[in-house]
Amino acid sequence: MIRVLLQRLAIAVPVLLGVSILVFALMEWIPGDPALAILGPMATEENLQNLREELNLNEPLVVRYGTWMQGILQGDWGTSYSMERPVWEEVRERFSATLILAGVAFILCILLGVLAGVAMAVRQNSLLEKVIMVAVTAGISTPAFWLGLVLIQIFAIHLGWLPTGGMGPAMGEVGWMELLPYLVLPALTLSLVAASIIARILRARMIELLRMDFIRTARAKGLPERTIIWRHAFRNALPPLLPLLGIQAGYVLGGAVYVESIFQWPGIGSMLVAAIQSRDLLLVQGGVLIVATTYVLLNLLADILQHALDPRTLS
Amino acid sequence: MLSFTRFWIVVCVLLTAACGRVNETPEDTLVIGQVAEPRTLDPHVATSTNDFRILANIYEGLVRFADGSLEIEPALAHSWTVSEEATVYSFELREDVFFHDGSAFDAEAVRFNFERMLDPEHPFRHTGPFPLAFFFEAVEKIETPDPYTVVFHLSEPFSPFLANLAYPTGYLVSPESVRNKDNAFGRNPVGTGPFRFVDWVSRRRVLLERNPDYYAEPAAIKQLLFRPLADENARLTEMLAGSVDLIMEVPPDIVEFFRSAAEFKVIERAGPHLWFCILNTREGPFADPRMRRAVNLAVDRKSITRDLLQGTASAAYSFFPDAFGIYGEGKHPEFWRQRDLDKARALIDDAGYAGATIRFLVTDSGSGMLEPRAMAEAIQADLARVGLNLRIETFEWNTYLSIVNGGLQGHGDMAQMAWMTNDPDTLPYLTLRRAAWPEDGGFNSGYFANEALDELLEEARRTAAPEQRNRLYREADRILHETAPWIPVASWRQNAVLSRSVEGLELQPSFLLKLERARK
Repeated sequence: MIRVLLQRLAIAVPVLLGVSILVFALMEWIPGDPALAILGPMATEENLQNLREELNLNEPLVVRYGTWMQGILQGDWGTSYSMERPVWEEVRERFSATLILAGVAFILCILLGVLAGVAMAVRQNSLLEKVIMVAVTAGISTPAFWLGLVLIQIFAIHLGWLPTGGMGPAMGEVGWMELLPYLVLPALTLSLVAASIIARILRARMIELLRMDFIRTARAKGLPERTIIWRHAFRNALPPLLPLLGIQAGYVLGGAVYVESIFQWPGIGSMLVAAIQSRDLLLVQGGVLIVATTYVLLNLLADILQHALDPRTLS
Repeated sequence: MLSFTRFWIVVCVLLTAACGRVNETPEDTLVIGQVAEPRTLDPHVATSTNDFRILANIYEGLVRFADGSLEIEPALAHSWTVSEEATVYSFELREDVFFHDGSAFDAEAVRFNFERMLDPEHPFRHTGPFPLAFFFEAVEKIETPDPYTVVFHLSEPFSPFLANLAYPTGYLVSPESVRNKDNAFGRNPVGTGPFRFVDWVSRRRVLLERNPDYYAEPAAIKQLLFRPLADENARLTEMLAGSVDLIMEVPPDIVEFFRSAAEFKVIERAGPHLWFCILNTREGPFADPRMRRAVNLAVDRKSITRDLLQGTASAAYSFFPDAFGIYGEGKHPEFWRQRDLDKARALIDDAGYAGATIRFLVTDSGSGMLEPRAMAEAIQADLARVGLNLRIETFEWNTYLSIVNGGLQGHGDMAQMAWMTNDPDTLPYLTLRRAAWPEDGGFNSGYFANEALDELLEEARRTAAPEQRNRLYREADRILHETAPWIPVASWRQNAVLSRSVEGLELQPSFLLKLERARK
């Protein structure tokens, strides 16, 4: 187990290295430069030259990559050209925001998915099942950005119950209680597709399980229906669901980028878009590095879970 | 199934708990939806209109644009004199002005401000860069004969000087705060204006409050809250939900909706903005002046501004935006007003370019660029009607700027561009003179050259009397009409949507947002 883990980790290093080289080269090859982005369209050639000098943009690509890599290894992510602040601080703040949103959305998608899936299986052929089924089908086929706008229209503009966007009120301090209303709509938007997929798969699996002999035995023993559903059927439906959760976690993190822009959530996605537009190389590098690392870790986690559940996959 | 029901109860309770007045703005605070997070609040470092909207409320200059016009009136200087050769400007300062940090506003403070921008050896030079310092490059020497007199000596007559002083680059910052805050001054601004800075929380707000010690009438509202809402849809939904009082730069397809909605009002004001197509006069079809005149005759500016831009811009025929009024209030030249497709076709046939393919460089967005792609397509359709085949090549804004500012040679035959300026001199001087070719560090990306024009622009710079200057610019406009280095297309009418309750707010032709009289 540990050997496999180490192997996976060893592969992660060249992957991250490759990503960082690719991003560095891409940012160099696309036209446009950070000096122009900082000084604006009316910048004179002399000012541009001075600023390029100041930002070390005149050094060869390899030298700049080397300097950057050296910094990273020493824990120094450099300073963002456009924000004029350490890249690490910016990346940390923005990535935390993304993690909060994606984390809440992930929990929400499990909650909604499990409840809907179990409800459909238990109340098969009832009106409740049909209603949930319609919602689930709609959930799978609705693009997140559209759903987000519809939710804003209903809950923020029409009913006025929830804020339209942002991460906490503009005035005053922001604690978890203040944050909560701001989280509802983006987290819901982000979780709905993933929840629908979980619900459909869980429903099929539960229906299958509920017809099995051990459930009949449990019922014959006179166990309460709740215990039968949750403790016997649901628990057995769980193992094949876990790898799916790994995939959904990746989806939620990736989907966060779109949802962030609809809801003005100051996450890593919107930071990367702005950083690319202003040719802020170091900020792009920092952002990509942390996102890539997270994906690698998530994959690793999914592998570990799978091994834990089914040791045969080790070989 | 208890847990299922329970779950929905929890959801409902949470929703109701959050319900209520989440989307109302405080009564004593005007909330402004900005198009982006500000980059800096140091007026000498800032370059974007978005930043200027905040700065115009914190800072003031020696002079300012009068309310509703581009005329210059006293601000921190109560009077000034200009020497006969127009090279010495002497300002008498108000004596009752203090910076928000309590330090005195005097001649030394003024000198510090300009020397920080202009003197490479200045001890606070590192707090830059100062991209627009060239507005004042004619300043050779600054004298302070007494604490409330400042004298600027210019190396040559430079008529845009006063207009540049009224621009945010001419706003005056507190030297004491620059010394104390050093590089952090841009995030801790201190000026003399009707509002003073409270805090700047990244991605959430910039908060200003009424300056109680303001020397003139204090601001009408207690606080200004600027919120960065980069996404266009987010600005609209926040406005609809009532969580902002004011948004600017509302896109054409939405502005009509707000015009008809009872809870909002739309205000508009034309300004010195020009959207144009640069023509490559060095190579290809547009090296021939007949071709340049032909495309000017073929483009339907009225349809672009009325139908496509929904009246958020007005048609431009002159090379000088109407807001400068060089023809007098409400008067315009006749240039190209009559669209004439037959004449255009005849000119193209004459030049031997019928059916020619033209490479048109286009951007997807950008400061002052309005609806660049849709406008490009409209121009493409217009020119197709005279037998020209436009091949549109679209670039992201930063990429676009570095290609176009470097010169069109080898890249394209025409390119879109837009400028917002504060003086009729700026645009033609930086973009149409022979000495402003890209290889000489200027913005003349189409390599236009005309000696008579160059002389007129230089002479206008040396001319202080407004009427005489306007005469020179009218002459320049006539030459430009004949030689047609660009297709002037549209002048943006800046717009803003306000909630009904907001009063006392007018947009300015300078595009600066002055909020001291706003209330709700």
